[in-house]
Amino acid sequence: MKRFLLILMRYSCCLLLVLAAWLMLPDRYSRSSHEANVRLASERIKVAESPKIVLIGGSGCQFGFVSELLEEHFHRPVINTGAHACLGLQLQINLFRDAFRPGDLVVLIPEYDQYSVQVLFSGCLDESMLRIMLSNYPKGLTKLTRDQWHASLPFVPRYMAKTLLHFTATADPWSPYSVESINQYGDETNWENRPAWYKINPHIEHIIDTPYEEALLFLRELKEECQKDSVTLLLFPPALAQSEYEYNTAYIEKLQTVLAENSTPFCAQPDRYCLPDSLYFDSYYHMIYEGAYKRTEMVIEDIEKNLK
Amino acid sequence: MLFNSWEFGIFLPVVFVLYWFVFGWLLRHNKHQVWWQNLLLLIASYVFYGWWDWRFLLLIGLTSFSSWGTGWLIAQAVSENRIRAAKTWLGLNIGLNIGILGVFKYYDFFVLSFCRLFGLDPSSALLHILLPVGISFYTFQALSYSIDVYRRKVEATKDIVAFFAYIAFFPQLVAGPIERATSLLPQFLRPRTFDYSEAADGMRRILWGLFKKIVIADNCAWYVDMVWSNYISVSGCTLLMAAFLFAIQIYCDFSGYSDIAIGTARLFGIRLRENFRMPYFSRSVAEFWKRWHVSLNTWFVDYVYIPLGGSRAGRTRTIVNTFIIFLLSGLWHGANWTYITWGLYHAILFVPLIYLGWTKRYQDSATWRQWPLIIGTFLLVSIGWILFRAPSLHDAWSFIYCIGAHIGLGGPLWIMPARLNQLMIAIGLMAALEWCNRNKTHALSTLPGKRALRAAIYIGLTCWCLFNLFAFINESHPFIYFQF
Repeated sequence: MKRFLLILMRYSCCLLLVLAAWLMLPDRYSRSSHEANVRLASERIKVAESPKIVLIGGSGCQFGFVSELLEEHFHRPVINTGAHACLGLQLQINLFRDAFRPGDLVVLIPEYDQYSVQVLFSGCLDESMLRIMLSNYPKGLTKLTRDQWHASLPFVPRYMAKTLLHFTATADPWSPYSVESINQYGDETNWENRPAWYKINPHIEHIIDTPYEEALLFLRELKEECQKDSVTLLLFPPALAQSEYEYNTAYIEKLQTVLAENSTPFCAQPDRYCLPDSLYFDSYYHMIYEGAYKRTEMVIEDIEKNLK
Repeated sequence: MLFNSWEFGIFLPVVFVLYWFVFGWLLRHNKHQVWWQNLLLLIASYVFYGWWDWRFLLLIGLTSFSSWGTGWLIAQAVSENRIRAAKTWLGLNIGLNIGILGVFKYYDFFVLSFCRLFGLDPSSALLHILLPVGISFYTFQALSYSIDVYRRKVEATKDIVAFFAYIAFFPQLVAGPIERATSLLPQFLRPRTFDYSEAADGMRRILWGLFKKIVIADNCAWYVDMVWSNYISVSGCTLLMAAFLFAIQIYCDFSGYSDIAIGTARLFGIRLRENFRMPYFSRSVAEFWKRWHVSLNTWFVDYVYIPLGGSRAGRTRTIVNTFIIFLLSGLWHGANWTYITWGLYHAILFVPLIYLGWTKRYQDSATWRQWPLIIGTFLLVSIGWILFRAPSLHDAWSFIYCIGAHIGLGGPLWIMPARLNQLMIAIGLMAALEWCNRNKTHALSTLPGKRALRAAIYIGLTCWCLFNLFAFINESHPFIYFQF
């Protein structure tokens, strides 16, 4: 029996070592895709001089800005930290919070679901958050809260399996989703490969929900902290495709009221950022060049108004 | 509780530790040690079985109690030479067990078939009872005990705990191998000692069984289910591939279960009979049936075929007897005409072999030169599996028709290439390992190389299983034979 248990123990130890090595394998697809922006943005924000402009939001932010216009207009360095919404709003902010300096302008553009769906606030919807962080920016995992750790652990096995599935896969460099398409600001720029074809799918269940209490509290605290540190925080509504906007108008109006009551109002009317479907490509948040250009101009106008 | 579930991953070590350390080592000087170990196995087996539905326990309890009680009465009557009384008790127990099986498994099928035949409305007569998992397996095991007691092949036991543990022994409870009282019951009555080589081989066997189930059978199931749900509109090559993969699936699913069962039993110092002997390397259908689901086939031979006269009463009688056992075997698998037709199909394949006197050919193991025979047998068996897999006879025929009609519609559907590629590699690996170990009990019996290399192979196979569990976490399929 002793021999049997000893061999079993040795086998288990070897297995654990192999599993640990497996866990360390990066997801190659993630590193070669738009998800790498988390790592690139964290490198850029470290060296950027203040006062700077930091754009924080979901992929709508990454696929919907021409940051060059912002830089030219405000003469400040711009860092677009836009990332997959699955990362969760809380982590998207916490990752870059330490780099906010007095005089900085933080443009926060969460997607609508990130206010109301707990997992899109906390980033534990599936293995995406683990994939993005472990493959691109493992240091950033220190920013996870205890609850986030707890909620993301069940996704570790699936993450590990995906790393093997993606072992030989990399994003096509010509795709708008490739790391090569990310410019020096963090915008996805492969504009010519984004045909405008977005159509609303009437069969999809859309988000009609009440804003999530924890998200509201988090935003309130963030605003207070920014005020204390002389950082300007502007909360923008996301630019949403018209058909989708019309489908969710009731929720968006409700959110607007709740945010105002929370002392964290939108700095612009949400319907101003309701843009024609023809300006989007594969999602109601991902824009073609004309859409991103128009949206950036609108954001510039609204920043001007709010800074006055 | 499924063997390929996390619950079983916790359940097995707990029972192992309790069995050898608490009830084994601590009670080593206690004269009732075996009784305590049996009690633990009984409780563990009932927890294992009750995990599906606790109500099933009532049924297995009733089957066990009636077989134990009548076994005792049969033995008494036989010893006092009251053969008529012994026959009565035996008949009662067989009637009760077959009655339970009939009500739970076949009642709705026969009522439905009868009503369809005469154009009656069956809705008010159907019972819609939930089929208890593995009912056919433990019922046959219980029946074999009563018959063997009547035949004086085994002594009736007074030890009710040992007997209940024999019927409900969790490794083989829900999908066999169907054990005989002559080989398994005595093992529950004598002290067990831990044997390193048995336990180590048991672990290897569990690993190989899990590999076949998780890596091969479950991935085959994904493809096969997808094709069967839409077989009208896919190409003939896709249908052929689905037919091939189902043949692999059912083998890996069922023999994988048997491997895990045999391996698990060995961890507890108990030996179960072999259920599969590399059946896809058979050179004729007769040889296939000596290698496939051995415990069921020998059961039918011992308790049905031989009492009917076997092959000693002339060729015609042999053919009739062969048809009877194949029909019963088909019916045993399930209450559906597809299973009965599948049994008939195999009986028909047997007829020329009986005429040619080839039923006992090929006692040795296959060689490279016999590959044409092996492939031919595999093809014949695979056609039978289409009948087995089809939801109805109409679907089976349509599937076969579509193979021919759609053969020009292109190559096989190759969706999710990464998944299919790893499946093909796994099937190739299994075939190679089983071919090299075709004279052994399982494919990991003997591996070449040094200890470190063997350890690397075991860890590699474990990681392969984990990868599939992790990647397709929501797709775990129950073992096919649980439904029987």
